[in-house]
Amino acid sequence: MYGGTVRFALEGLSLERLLNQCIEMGVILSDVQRPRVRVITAAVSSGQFKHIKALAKKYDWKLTVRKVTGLPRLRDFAWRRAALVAGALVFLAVAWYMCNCIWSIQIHGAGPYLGEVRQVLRENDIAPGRFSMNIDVEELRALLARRLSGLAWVSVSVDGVRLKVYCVQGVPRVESDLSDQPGDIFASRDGVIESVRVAAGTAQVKQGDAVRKGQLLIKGEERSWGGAVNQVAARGEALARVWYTAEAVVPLTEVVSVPDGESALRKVYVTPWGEWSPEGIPLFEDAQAVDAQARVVLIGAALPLWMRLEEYVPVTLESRPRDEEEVKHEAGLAALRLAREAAGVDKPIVDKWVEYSIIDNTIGAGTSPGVKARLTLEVLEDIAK
Amino acid sequence: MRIGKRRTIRHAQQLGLPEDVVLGLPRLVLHGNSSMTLENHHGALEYGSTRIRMRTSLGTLTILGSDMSLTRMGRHDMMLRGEIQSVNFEGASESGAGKGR
Repeated sequence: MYGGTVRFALEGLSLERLLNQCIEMGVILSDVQRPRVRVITAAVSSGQFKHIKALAKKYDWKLTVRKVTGLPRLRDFAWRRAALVAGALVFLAVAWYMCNCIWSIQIHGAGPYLGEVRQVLRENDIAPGRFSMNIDVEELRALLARRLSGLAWVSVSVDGVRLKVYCVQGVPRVESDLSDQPGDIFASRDGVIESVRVAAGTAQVKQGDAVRKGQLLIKGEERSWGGAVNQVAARGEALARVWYTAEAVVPLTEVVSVPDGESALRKVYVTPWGEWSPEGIPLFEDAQAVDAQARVVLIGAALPLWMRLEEYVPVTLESRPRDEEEVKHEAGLAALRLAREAAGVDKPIVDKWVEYSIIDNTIGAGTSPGVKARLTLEVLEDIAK
Repeated sequence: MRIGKRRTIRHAQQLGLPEDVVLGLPRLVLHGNSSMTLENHHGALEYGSTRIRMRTSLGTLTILGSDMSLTRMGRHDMMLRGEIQSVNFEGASESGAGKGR
């Protein structure tokens, strides 16, 4: 076989004949050494080693193979360990197949169209476990763009074992933009005007004015050079400081579980297809919890069978007081998160302030003291609607 | 030297061809005293770590040295490595040259 060398030793008389016979047969020897008078060692390509064997037989030399390298060595190794090689090949094939399957589908930016995107994917049998080479991403992208007219842009790509769908929703034109009928713009919220930008119509408020919800901001009238008043569809933007408030209550006590000192171990035999235990879940009079888990592989690392040890510890639930400052901080953060959700995360924050009060917090059937945080968030918002 | 060989040499000289190529003369390249390349040999007569005798068209080439080993042995060329002490042609004769061809 091409690609390997065989290092051998020949023992016998008149070993120079080996060199001359090799020359006649075109066998190329390398690293020829003569450690003793009756011994010669050399290396030859594995394809020409048969000639050496024939010569050794012909001249009654003792032939010893010292070392085999290259493909013949690999072939002998594979032949001796056929099961291992077959297992490795199967493993590689399975690993290759698994690496070429879709195991996760990520949809970004679909918003309200998320369900429809998933429906389209489902209709095309695209689900975890699908072979990714069979998926025509360009066709899928075109299909999504065709079916979901609310999306302005769709991209589908396969990244490793993930199918990624990026969507950008189209922004529909607001009715006031579409309408050419004369009309005014009113305030959608209470606030203090920071700036007014008029595209059509006449501004009725200026910076620093406090406005109420429903107040006229831009009137749909424009005066021409001649003094005539024309009715137009008012258009513009009125940025105002507006306020959002949110409240959050965090109890001043916390419930912790205290182990009673007892414990019970349970063995669970687990396979990828299910699990089974000869023992039932131990029942304790008080609350119980799984406190620790350990995995013990039973039959080697290659077979998917292992044992899970579950430790059940009976516990007592105790109510403990918490640090008031910590609770206040937690309540403030929760209120801020709620206020930002209400205001919209993209709006710039001008100011915020929070007030705390201790209240009786109702938990289940009983009550416990808690901290109520009331946060007011001041943001800039376009209130021209 | 035989008449035929002399004629061949003369023709080679007239044509500007190297004589070793035309006549199959041994080409010997010594790399210091640590390795040697021999081309156009006609086989090995003796091979050992201190003495190597090769048959060539000019007779027997004897190489004396120590720790010598053949790093390559081909049909027309050989390469040896070791401490080379002397290189000597023995019994260069017409019959020796003719026998090896």
